[in-house]
Amino acid sequence: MKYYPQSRRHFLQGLGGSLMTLPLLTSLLPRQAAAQAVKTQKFFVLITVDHGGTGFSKDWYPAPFIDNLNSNQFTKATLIPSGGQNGIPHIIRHGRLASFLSTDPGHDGGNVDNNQQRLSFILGSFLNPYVNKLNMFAGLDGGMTYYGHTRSVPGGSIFGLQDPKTWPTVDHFLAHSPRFYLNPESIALPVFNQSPYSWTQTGANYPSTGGSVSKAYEALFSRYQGTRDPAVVARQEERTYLIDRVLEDFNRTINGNTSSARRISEADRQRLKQHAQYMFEVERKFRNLVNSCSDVQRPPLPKYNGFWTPYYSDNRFNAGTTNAQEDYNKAWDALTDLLALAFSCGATQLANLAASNGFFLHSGDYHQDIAHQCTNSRSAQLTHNRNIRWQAEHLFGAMVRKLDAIDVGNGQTLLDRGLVTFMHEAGTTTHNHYNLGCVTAGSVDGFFNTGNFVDFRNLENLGLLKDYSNPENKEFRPGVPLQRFYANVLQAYGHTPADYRRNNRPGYGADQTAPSYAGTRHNPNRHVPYPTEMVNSFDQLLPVIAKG
Amino acid sequence: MKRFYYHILLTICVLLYQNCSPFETNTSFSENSSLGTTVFSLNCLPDDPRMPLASELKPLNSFELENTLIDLFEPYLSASQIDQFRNRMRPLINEIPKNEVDVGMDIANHGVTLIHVEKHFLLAEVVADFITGNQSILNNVLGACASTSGTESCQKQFLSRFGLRALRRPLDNDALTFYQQVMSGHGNSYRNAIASLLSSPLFYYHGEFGQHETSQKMVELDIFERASRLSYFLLQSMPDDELLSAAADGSLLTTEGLRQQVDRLLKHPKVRQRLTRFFANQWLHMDKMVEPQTEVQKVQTLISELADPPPFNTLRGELQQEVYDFFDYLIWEQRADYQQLMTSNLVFPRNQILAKIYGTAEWNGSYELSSLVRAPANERSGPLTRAQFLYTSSGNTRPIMRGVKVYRDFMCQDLNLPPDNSTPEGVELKNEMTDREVVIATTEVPGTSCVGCHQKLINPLGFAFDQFDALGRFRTQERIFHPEGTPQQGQVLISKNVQPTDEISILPYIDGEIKGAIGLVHELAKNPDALACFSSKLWNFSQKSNLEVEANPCAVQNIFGAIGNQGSIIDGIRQIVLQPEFMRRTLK
Repeated sequence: MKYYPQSRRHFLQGLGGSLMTLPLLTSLLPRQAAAQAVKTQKFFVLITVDHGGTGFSKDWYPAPFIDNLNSNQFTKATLIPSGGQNGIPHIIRHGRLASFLSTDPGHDGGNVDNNQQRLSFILGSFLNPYVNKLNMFAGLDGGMTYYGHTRSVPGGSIFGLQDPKTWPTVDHFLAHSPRFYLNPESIALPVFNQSPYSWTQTGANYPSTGGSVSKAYEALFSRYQGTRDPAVVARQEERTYLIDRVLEDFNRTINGNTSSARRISEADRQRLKQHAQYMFEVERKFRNLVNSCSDVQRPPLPKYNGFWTPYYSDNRFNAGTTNAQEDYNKAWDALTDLLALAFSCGATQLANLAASNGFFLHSGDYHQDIAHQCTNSRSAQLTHNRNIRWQAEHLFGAMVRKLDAIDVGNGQTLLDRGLVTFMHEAGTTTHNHYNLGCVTAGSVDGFFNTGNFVDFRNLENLGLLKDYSNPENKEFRPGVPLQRFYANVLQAYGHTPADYRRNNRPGYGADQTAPSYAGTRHNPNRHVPYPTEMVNSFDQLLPVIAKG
Repeated sequence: MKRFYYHILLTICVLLYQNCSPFETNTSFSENSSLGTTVFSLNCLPDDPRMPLASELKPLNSFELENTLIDLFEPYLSASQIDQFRNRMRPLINEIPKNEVDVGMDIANHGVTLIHVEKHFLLAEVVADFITGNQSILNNVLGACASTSGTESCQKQFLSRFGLRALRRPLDNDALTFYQQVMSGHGNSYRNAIASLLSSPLFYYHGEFGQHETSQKMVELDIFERASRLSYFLLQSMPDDELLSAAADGSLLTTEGLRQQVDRLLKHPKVRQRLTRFFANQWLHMDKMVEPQTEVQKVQTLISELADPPPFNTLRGELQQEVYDFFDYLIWEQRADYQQLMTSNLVFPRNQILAKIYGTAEWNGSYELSSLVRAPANERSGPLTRAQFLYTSSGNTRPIMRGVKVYRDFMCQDLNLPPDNSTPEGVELKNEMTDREVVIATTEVPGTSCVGCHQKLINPLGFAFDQFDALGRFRTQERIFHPEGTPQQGQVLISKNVQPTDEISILPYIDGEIKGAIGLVHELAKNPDALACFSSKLWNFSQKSNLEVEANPCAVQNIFGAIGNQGSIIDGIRQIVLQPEFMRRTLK
């Protein structure tokens, strides 16, 4: 590579030491080392499950939990020591997730898992190898004034997609956060966004990349293809040369060596230095990208290439040929391959996914005929749960399996570096907003303890519920709101409360109302704000799972 | 505490004390004009230092960037090449993150992130490739040196000529030497020169480093910086050749020289187009229209009532264009004052969709008197009754948002977010309720934190526009649709007569009986404080800030005076440039 005599090192000397922060230093690492640094960046995947509504059943929850739903046999921990809701301490229960594996036959008689141990019918034996890298929760509550579809609740945007002034989903927050992208260059990376549950405010680096495997490949990798072409290499050399000159030009101005800027103020100087740092990172990004990610080849496309599904009207989707299910599985297999490779080589750090298999299970209006009938029809509930099992296996399970297969050194796999969240859109029944089904995988580089089952519900808090006569509320107790969960997630990625708070209100997400008071679904008028003690706890680490 | 904020603070205190009724006590400042007396904070004192608010080095915003690149290369390109050039650049410019603010004008956000820097660099490369990739274009750039482009003297000549325009100031010897080295170091010399100049800090930023500094860190802009400041306000772009010449020969330093340039530029078609368009966008936040909720059946029903409705992006552009046409005619053709701007019932529907919304014939694009289209009597009045302003992208009329916009953008009042925006306990919403009834039921519950601001401020302002449906069509009845999710969704359940606000008290702007939106707008049009608000918007726009009024009460007062004393809005614009603060910068 041809370099102009005055190199970036000279520029750094010219800058002085005041802005020599760690990311800058890494830009001076040998190319290979710098590329490696990009490879092990933390990642976040949010997978949203349409509807939720699995019921308080062994189809979703482990049998040992359902059999002891409100008992005291598990280990206890204190969530809020005093002054919790209604003045009652908020005590949670937990245990090692592995101890929740069972051979309970379930509604399928254990057949689909060949009678092996498993967490549940939905979270089948395919997750067994990773059970110590998972966390499973009960009592994770969403809250909002109306709970409809695609309101972004699973991502933490409590009041939904319609109002752009409300909170972005957490993937959007991360997509624009320099703390998430420890290498500042990476903030310009594309985000893999295929989910209708993502916030509508898209940024330059956050287009929808949904559609098909081929589009996913284009979005993530096409930019790296052909980069070994001599012309591309030559272009890169030219670009490196040019950026070096631009940096020199900035240096001239910063140092007052131009006639117009001889009187440059310290604030202006700092602003230009910051700009120059960004130029460094741009150069490093270009250089690294030429040397990594280019090994990922376009995958063979299954006959059925698409994987997009509209958010809940699955009946719009035409399954097509008799082999469509197999092809559809292959499409998701290819996509999860691509994502694992993209996280591995640094082509992206964020993905937001949603899919359904409902259209293979029901040819009519899945939304109305199946999802909304779950509480009334066992048949509909079983169909729905089969659909969610497919998502657990082909989205969540596949992601976990593939990420855990990539060794990143130091005894870690790629899965350990990030978090994959499998979050239900709604709670145990569709359109309610408490007890969202949620399983996570990964520890975000050790921030989270893993291998736990945590029931966040406060069993002692019975006094505030208004409508226990409603059968769907029978097992309901107030738990932990998503605000606190996502505050923990953001802290795992290096954020402080000051980074994500608004109006100094604790937690991540809009001012939630407490579903614990609601009693019935579809009734926004029965929500009231969480008690102050609960709100004030939103930034605190969650006991049992977060070690900080 | 600066005076403006003191006043605002006082206002808020009074407002809170009096349940959100501001300015009950007229204890503050006054300024006489033909419109009357303001209580707005135009408190210009004789010893005012006329010092701008301290500001950081400001980058060109996306609008300025695109204009600058077009103007920079326009002399070398044919008309078709300009289109190609624009089409090549625009996707990259669109990828530059948009800087936004929650309240006020987005141009006040001068953020620069890694993405901004990366995208700008890629843009510089693309522009350089476009220019140098076509030999005939490059020859135009090189001029007489086209056949001897490799010689040192030619390179120097190119750098002097092109560098002056790109960096908006002459290149000194050091700079010439530096860029000559850039050209000779590697690869394509002219590509490198163009790309590096476009990536230079003096291109990317408004390089206003000033001349001598006062003890308060205020600097007078040097003469080329003055040319740029003037140009980026009026042209929204780099100085043209005449302006650069006026800087080079020093004439821009004299008041007469400055006036000559201002008068010349105010006749420039690009000034007319760009200034109007960008100010309208920033003042009225037109870029922030959101996609309609087409999954909601009643939204589909409403949209389907437009003849052959275009895709939203097209419709958005048409709605915006109608506002541009309105401003263009009123400000530049009619030389309107503020009152005329606010009360004109002219509409400019270029197509059937807009004509249908306004209930008029289509406009043929001519400013001939016989071609102008007037809205039906008592239906439209100024910017606040444009279809663009009224279109909600929703199934309802969003009276709260309409009210908030009026309160913020036409009264310059701020609103804090409510402490708790959940629906109060015990509220029962019925299917037969109008949008107004729903808003009242949910926001005017006695004893809640909402009622103070909603009952007296936001809601009455928003309800004034009840005569316009969610598409901006005039109506006398509100159609209430069956609830979503029912078999009859999208169908009309019941119709009720609309009842726009008939009385409102938001001192000092308005107090008493009004007749709906027209009444409200007419009150604002003759209200001196609303004019003071508008004057401050103009000044803030010129300074790319939302806070300049605090530091520059004298400037705003003078603009107010220029427009208020039967002057036109163009007189106000001219007045801006003549303020001493305009050619100053306070360093951070």
